Amino acid sequence: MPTLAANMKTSHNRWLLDQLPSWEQEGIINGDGASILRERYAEKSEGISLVQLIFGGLGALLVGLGLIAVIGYNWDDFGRPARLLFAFLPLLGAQAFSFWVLRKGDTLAPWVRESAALFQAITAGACLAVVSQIYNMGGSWPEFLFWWLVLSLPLAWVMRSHAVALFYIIGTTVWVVDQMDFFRTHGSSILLYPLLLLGLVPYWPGLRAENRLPVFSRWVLAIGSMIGLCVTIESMVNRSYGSVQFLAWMLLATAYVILPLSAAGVAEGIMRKPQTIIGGGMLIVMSFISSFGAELKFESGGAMNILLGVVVVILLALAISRRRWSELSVASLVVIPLYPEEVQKWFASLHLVGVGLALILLHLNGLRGTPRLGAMILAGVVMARMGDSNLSLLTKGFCFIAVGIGFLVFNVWLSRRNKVAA
Amino acid sequence: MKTSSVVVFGLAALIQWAAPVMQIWKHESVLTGGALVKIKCGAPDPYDPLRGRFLAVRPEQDMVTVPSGAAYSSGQTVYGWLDVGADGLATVTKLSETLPADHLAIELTTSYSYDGKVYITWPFDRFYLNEKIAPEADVWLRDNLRDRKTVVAEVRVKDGRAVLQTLSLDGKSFRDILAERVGH
Repeated sequence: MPTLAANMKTSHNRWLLDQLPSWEQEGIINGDGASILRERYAEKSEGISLVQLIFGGLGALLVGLGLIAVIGYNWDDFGRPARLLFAFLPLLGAQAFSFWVLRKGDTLAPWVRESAALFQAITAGACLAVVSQIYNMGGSWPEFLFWWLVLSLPLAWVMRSHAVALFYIIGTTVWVVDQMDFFRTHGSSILLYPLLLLGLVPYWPGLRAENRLPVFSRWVLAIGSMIGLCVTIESMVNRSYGSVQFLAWMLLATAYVILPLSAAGVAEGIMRKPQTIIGGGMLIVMSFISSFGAELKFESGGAMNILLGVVVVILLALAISRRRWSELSVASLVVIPLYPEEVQKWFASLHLVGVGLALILLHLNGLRGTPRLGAMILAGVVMARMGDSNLSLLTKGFCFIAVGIGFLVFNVWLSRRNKVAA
Repeated sequence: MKTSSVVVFGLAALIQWAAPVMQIWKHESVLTGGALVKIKCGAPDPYDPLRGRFLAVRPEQDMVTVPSGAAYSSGQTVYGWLDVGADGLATVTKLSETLPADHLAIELTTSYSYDGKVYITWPFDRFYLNEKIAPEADVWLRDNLRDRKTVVAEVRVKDGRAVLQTLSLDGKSFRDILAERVGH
């Protein structure tokens, strides 16, 4: 029961608590029952809300950017020592403020902590910027951004700052996209990206509950990291192999789908697991691409594929132990590149049909499934095969209509079934 | 407040100071103890949104002739031996892979090599200006390039490291010339 209470959405908790006074009045429940329910489903704060994050962060950002603009004026009238003092004073002030916030702990509102952390991150960057300006130091803005991110990262941990974590995610994504250089022949710094990603380990999905990011931030982390890792793979591939990136991308997408989660994490709604949606979406799209005849070749070489393969095998074992059958069904699409090239197109279609059916049957058998996704996949396969067949337009039209009606009927039937089950 | 939080915060604060302080220490030692060399260059005017307005500084010399058989890969760090000509301006006359013990040299990065010539990238590429006088630099540079006047980068060099001290024309600092023009 405590687990159920912990898994209920905050909005559901709030609804229940709002109903209790009227239920007590109507005699549906007595006072004792209401107290038990209030205690059990007490409104838990998820930490900072998005609005608080935005307003607190915006304030710190504006002050910090203003500071950079003031400093960027480049005060020629002052000597180097004075300008260096200008560089360090804001940083010192920000660090003192952050220390005070840390000492106050949870007695302060979360947005104060966020503002302090973000302000400190910005003043650290401003300090670096002023020093490089005073000494006419060269270098590109991505290089500056890299060091700024590295200096800011500890604040995401110690201040538990989601704003700094977001800045770090977006910043590292921008940095790695800039690093992508198909023509670079000497050592590439892009390989640092996976290490940069490790910097956010405390915020990875499935780990400590107290670090769980709000939904918006989870999406930013999932999208940013996927872009960054795909860019990293793409850069490595262009320097060595040909079509190996399909397999690498599918392995990466599989890892995202079956990323280990705690029991509470598994029980969360799908929209709160963006890594599953993004990974699953990539696998399904690439499988459909394969079903149209684009051969996803399997290359046995490549240390990167071997490493990704080992990671996926470990994650598969963990997913099986947690009985995440729905995710495993989608993850099974990773084997499509192994099918012989001559029959890959048809095997991919059959595999997709299998996955669609599995997702429906899991739900019908009382297990966690995603029947609507399964139905969409089945409909997609039928329409794809109709699309590239030689059947007449009339036949295709009737097929599409039949699929559409079938889809709608299934949806209605499923909704009614779910209502009865509830 | 947990001890671990204090420790991590302390380390983070220390690193946030250490990074710029190290840069300051490296550059100050070059500015105060480095040899002054003058390098001929020209400069248009871009803008670094994160660090302020600057002039792009491009030394005229972008290539060094090397002995046949010498091989340098792209992106390699090399040391350019600086020799001062009769006009007081320094040029790179030779490249080596290690810092020479008894000759003034500057750390460079190779771009590419072709036909006995190695194309180089200098370690300084910008000169920061006050926002007020930066636009005036555009006008001034156009006038001076048209008149074929020479812009000179005054650089301090020590142990291979270089710090751009100022840009000058006929011995007069760029900042002073531009400040006079805008009546600063």
